[in-house]
Amino acid sequence: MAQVRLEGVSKSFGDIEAVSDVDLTVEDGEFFVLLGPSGCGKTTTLRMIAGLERPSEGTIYFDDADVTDDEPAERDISMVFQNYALYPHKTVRENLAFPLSLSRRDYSSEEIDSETERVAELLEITDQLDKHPKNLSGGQQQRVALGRAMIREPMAFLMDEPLSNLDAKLRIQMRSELKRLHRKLGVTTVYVTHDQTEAMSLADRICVLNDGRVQQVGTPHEVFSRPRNTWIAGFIGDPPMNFLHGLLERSDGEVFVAGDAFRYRVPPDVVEELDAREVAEDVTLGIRPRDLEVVEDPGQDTFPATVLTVEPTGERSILTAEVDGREIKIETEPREFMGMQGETISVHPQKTYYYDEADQLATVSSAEGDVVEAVEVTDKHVEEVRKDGDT
Amino acid sequence: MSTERLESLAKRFGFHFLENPRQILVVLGIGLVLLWILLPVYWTLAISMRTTEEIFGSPDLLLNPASLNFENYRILWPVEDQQVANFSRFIVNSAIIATLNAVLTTVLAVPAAYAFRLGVGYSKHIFFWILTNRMAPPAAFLLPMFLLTSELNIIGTHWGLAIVYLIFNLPLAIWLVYGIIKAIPEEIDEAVYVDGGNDFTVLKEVIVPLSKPGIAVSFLLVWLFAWNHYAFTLMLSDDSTMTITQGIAQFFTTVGTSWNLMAAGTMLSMLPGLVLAAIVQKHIVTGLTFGAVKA
Amino acid sequence: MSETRIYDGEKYLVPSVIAFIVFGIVPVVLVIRTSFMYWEAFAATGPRFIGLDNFEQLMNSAQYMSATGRTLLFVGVSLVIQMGLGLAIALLLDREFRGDSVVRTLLVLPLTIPPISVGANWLLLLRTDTGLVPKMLSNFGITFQIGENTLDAWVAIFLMDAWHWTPLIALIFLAGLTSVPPSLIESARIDGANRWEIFWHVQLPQLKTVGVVALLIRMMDLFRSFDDVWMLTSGGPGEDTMLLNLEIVRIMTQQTRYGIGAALSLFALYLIIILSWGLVNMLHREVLE
Repeated sequence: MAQVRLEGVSKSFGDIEAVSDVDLTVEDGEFFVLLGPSGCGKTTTLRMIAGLERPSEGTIYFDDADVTDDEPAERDISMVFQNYALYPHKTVRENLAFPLSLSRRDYSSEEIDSETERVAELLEITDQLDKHPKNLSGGQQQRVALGRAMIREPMAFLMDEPLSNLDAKLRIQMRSELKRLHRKLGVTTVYVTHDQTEAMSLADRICVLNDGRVQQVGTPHEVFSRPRNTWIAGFIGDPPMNFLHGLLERSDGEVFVAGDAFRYRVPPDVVEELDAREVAEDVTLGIRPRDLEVVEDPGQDTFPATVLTVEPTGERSILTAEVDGREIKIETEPREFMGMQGETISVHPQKTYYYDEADQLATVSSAEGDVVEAVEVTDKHVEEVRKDGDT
Repeated sequence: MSTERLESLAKRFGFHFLENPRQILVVLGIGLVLLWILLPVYWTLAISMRTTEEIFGSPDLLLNPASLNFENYRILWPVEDQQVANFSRFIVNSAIIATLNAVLTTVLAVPAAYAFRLGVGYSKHIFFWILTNRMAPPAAFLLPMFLLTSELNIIGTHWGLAIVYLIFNLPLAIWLVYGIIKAIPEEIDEAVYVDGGNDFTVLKEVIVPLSKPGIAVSFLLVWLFAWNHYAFTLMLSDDSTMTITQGIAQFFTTVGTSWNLMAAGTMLSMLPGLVLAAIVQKHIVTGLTFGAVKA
Repeated sequence: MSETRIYDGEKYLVPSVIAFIVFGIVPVVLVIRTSFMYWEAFAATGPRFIGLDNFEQLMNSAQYMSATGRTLLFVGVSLVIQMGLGLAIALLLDREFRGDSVVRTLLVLPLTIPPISVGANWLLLLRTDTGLVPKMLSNFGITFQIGENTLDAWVAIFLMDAWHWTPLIALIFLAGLTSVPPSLIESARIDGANRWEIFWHVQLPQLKTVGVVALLIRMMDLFRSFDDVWMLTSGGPGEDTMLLNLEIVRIMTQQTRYGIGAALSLFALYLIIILSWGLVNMLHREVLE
């Protein structure tokens, strides 16, 4: 087990820079998730940690050893691939034993047998040991791939979208199992995914990547509740955060954000922070769909919105409405809004995010009493997952 | 034959003459193709089982099963070494040369194909250069190959021919094997790397075991083309390494024309091809077209 | 997948490249060197440098230029026969019937036979004294003599080469026909196209690529032809079917005039390379990419 550290790492393919100047530290024993849309450089970053790609610039350390020019075999890492990459001509047993047979340490055949049995038991694939991968279900193949990674005690586990080929139900089950295994083994894990729910539920810390650059590193809670710029804010959360542009107006000690068709009074706790940070006139106001509430009467802390469509999804309805010429999404209880298309309604944000001209998060209003924080839900979910896993 | 019987016979082969009379033409066409393919081989077989008198007389079109004559084959298979047309030795020579060449070709082709999978600089140009070696007419290389093998002291040996045949077989084998191994997903290689192996581990543990059937097909095709080859033997083999193709040619160069023996020798020379045709049938077109057409 | 490689392939290519240098490049260099020399095995003088004399002699030789012409004739006519016949056989076999795989296996048969044996087969079939064909033709009062009659010899060569290689073209076209999606043909049929229109408008365009492959591969191999023609006619009657390759072998093995033989070899080699080059590029671009 080791700390994994990237310093100024860049990677270009021809003229395209896939990863730009990434600095990262993955702590020893940490479950670290690289999250981002496809093409953001997360897989390339992982492959550079694995040694499957050479960085164009920068240095990679395992603890204090520079491994930048080491071949994968010298790095003592194990990796789970998106398509599992099981050896089709080897049985499950041979697949599991293969890393041990290649190990620099000479394992006796008894040791290899017992280790194989141990991992098979841990992953509940003892019955499948003599089958070939093509005769296994997707979930079983996934377990074999995990087992092959876990049979050694490597410096780090690297996982490249390992759950993306499973169906939704199995994915959730394997997610909790991964969490359980990580708690049990405590090996430094770097995990790549484009699925924010997966990232939220698994990670100790998340690194959000876009266009090959690190956008934000933090706990799932931090990333969700204080997204550093509008891109992260728009990427994390579903449906994504709404944004409105406006100018700051001060009068009588109160502060407003005004667009062409709205004038919103900023909550008092935000005013202080905006002043302290000397935020210039132009601001972007961010509101999560779940934080918007349809109210009966217009007021200084509401927006006028024209309803475009209503999509009931069971527990909740998603309203698409127009505010100041922009489309926004509103998440409501189905009974909360029974209105019509084309109707103009008033919506009240319970929590607001403020981004300055340079697209940096200036401040976030504190949530109003009855709002259940999304991140708390996520954390709770993780707890449930942990409990499931331990039993 | 009555119409009904003809129709029921046709039906058994999936044709319906009454519904679609044009199929009669199709069946006649297919029959003609089969006749055309089999006729020369049949005639050679017929001659190989007849005596000289029968050949030059006016023999029946059909062989009489009662008077099948294997004497010609027996003569080609001399017990002692005195006969000139020593086909048993030619067959052994051809088999040795073809096997040596196929082994050598495969041993070189598998790593070379793997090299292209790993990636080499200027790979397109190198690939094309390798292919051009296959296109050159052997006749143009007779003299230089003669000089070269004399220089290397391998002229007149089995190894000499086996090595010279590389020039047309190795490009084919590299191409065929590359076609097979490029289909193996690269993730598997990477799995080996992170499991603690290097490029050689990948070759040994993944590429070779996974492409065994394809390598075997390539081996058989290469063997067959080596067995079939003639031109280079003209200047590069001596009495002790004479091949079966040379043995056939000899019948009207030095030995004198003894057509029934020549027919028997020709039949023997075709045997490996007939056997392999059944095994590698599906791959022959791929092999002959450098993988551009997969039949 | 990755542009930067952790392992380089070059070292695995080294043995093959050495083989191609020693047995591919060195011979060409030797041919070039020999082509500038007067070198005859039984001449009074030993090999000596004579510059371009061999090439001059070659260009002014009616004998060698006719061999070139005959080679082009052989390649051209054979291509026309085999492409046409191959397509016809492919269309004939592009259907399901009981025994279709047997027919296809038999079609492969000529492809596996040593060219020298193909020559032997056809020699035995077509020779006036042993052949079935001349005997049958004589019943109709037709004489067929490959040893005496030039036209008969050419017919024999074309027949033999067509027998040997038309199956390859047929199988290539058959593979092409199989790859035409049945839905295309069905929708054409629904649109009211008849069999001929379907062939012309639907199937033939799809056969273009494999057709180009077949044409090029056959062209290159026809230029290489030696064994079977050597066996069948040995260039006769007289020198009427003496192709370039036959001429080269004769000069090298019988006349042992190595200098002029090397010059002719180079000439043949570059004739093929030049003729193939453009077409191979086309093949590379259209088919192999």
